Amino acid sequence: MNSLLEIGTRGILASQNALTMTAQNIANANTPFYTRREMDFSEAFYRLYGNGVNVADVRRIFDDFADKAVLRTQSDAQSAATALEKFIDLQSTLETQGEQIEKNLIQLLTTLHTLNTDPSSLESRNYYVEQLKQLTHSFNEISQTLSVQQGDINKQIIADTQGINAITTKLADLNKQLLNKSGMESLPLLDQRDQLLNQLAQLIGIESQVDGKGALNVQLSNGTPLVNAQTAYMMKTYPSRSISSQLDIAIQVGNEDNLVSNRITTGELGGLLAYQSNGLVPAQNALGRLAVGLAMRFNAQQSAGLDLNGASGQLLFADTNEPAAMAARSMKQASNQGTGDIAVHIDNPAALTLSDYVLHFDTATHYQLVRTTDHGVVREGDILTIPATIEGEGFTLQLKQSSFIAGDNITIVPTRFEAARLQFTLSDGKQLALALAGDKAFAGGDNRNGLELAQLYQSGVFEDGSLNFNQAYHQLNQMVASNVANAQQVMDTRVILKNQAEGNRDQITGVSLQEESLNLARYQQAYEANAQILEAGQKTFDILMGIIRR
Amino acid sequence: MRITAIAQFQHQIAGLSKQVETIQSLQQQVTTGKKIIHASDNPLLAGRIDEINDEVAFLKGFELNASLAENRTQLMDTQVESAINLMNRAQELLLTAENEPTNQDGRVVIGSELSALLKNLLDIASTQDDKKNYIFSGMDAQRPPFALDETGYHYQGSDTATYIQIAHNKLVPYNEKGSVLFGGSVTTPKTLFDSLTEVVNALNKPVETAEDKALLQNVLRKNGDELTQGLLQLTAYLAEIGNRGNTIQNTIDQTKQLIVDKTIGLSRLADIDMGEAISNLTQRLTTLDIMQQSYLKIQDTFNHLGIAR
Repeated sequence: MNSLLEIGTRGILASQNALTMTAQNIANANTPFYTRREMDFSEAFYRLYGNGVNVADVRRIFDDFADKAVLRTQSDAQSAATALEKFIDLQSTLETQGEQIEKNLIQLLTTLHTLNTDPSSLESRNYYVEQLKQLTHSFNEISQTLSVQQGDINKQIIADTQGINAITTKLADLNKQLLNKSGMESLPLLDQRDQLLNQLAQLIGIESQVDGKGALNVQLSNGTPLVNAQTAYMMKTYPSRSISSQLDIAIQVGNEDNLVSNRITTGELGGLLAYQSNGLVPAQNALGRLAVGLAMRFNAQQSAGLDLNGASGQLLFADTNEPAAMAARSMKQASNQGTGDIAVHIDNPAALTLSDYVLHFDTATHYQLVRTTDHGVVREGDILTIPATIEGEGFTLQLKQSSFIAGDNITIVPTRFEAARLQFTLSDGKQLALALAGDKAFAGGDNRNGLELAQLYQSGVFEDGSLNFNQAYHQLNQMVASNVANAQQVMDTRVILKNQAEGNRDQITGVSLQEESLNLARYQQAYEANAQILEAGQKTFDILMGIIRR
Repeated sequence: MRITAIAQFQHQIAGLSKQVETIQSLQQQVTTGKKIIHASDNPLLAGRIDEINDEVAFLKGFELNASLAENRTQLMDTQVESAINLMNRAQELLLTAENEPTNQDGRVVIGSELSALLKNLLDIASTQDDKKNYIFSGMDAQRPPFALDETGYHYQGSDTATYIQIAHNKLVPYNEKGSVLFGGSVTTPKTLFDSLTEVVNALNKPVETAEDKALLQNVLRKNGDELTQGLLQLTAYLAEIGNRGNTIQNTIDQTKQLIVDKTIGLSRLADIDMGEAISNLTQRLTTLDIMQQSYLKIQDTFNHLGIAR
């Protein structure tokens, strides 16, 4: 009888706990990263007929494999979403500012046609000059917008690394807290850990394991540690040592900075870096190539002619190969031991590509010139005498002094800054050299050089002469459009995979309201039945007391 | 399969927003009338459209130039024809002057008409366009083509004509060198104006002796030959202008046709079929409606389960 009361009490307590747990599950049905709990009951048994029920355990229902799949697909989806967002940004920059370039080019040709019918008209000449200034302005403006975009990417990279550091610090701290917590107490902490891991996976692709002591360790996919037990390794950013205006990302382990910029491919950070190298840089290079091709071809044609004063044509645009410009096209990498430096002379727009290059010295004299887009070796050889030149693709490297050491790298960006550098240098329309320099006496109505200039707009300038100015712009447009379309598809696919992974996880860990409402009913019945046992025990006791009292 | 509350909700929301997205893009198509709002909607098609737009822009530039060339050719045609008429009249007058019945007074009258005619011919040679450029001075468009000094008339324009482009690889003369029409080149240094001046001078000089008469006849014959030669040149040039006019007209027709063809092609590529787009839109809207109703039904079912949401 004593045991009847005991069994009833244990039963009531157990069902009450179960009811509370179910209520908690229901209340958190829509809480992200809440892992549903299940209760394990065990028989209490130390006497012949048993002593009722005990709550053996409350378990978080989760599946490690499903959780990891969610983390992985989340990183993938986030990188795709970030890249897509940036690509769309780039596309709308081209749709607005870039289209100005296209319109200017077409207007310029129409104006030039008209100017060629009346080459001595100051009014027409000045109008053409104004349009050239507008074209220059369009180039400068769009390159400004793209630099701002680079700045935004840098800011976002810094914010992301700070976010990553905050999360890894918290994870290391959680590892410490979990050490001293019992199973039941640790449940909310584990939910919190899941949530942090998810946030981290949005920012950067990670691998994680729980070690024997229950501590969570986190690494980048290449193995560089982010969290190891109670230590979080800090992520750092600094101005790139190999490419100007970009950032390098490193993880500090001990006193060593491990450079990881090239290893981050997923998460928001991965998306930013992918866009930087597949979207922003090629766009800057394409605009630069267009600008440098225009400047070189227009300058050459202008020099072949005579202006309205009968003087030979001065440069329309600032000289492509000014010493400062040539120097700005190369950058010594910070790790270089040697002091050698080079100047980059642009020779032929038709051979220019949209790639950057690296000049690598594997000995003090032997070099390789490598295209960065496909790692193709453009040229290799030995520098034996100084000054020396190395022929690239549409450009020539000029080495004035040779002080390279094995392992030195020089980054070469032939066209990156050319759209920003484009500068119109004529002061007025009189200086347009529309007449042809020749043996004949100069005449103001001479439009022969003007006709050549008009021909220039229609002739192939880039890609071995297969693209004229407009077509080169369209190539850029189409490249970005394909990138956007492609990024959109990649994102759609990855979001589906992420949804599937989340669905799989939620099937295991998520709260099903139908299920919980049935559990609620079940535990309620159990509670009532146990109450009946208590009542039965009470009645038995009362009857017994009645007998004794008689 | 366990359907969790969070997943059920999310799936429904995702389905609904996907529909709304599609409807938005269809609506945009219908409002703009274009298949492509952003190049990324169809990069290949967008590239093709860019290409055609370029060609049309080039063609329109040529079209403008070709109509300028056409105007110029018409102006030249008129002027050269007038010059020919003047020259014909000059030859008539010369014949009259040569013939016996004409006396001194008659010759002076003829001389004064020829002198007026000379001035008219000089005016024709000095034709300027609306930009005040001389159309017969070649590249020296700012300078009158002929000037008079003590030794006679000289061509002072440029020996090179100017051309303008009216199609890919097609140039036509714009400012002609006057020496071709009126003399004064290296091969024919004497101008028509010189010939006419000599005739006028000779006619104004009194004829008293047989020698005078022979001299006059001589001058008239010699210059008459030169004028005939000049007339031939002018006539030949008129024929050339006629041909040029035809060429320009043909080019304009071709260019116009090309522009029309390309614009039609462009419209086929770039413009939506309105009927199709609207029917798609209607279909999508119906689907959205059904999805929304099913969403409400499912929520309702939940309420019947007795679960407060």
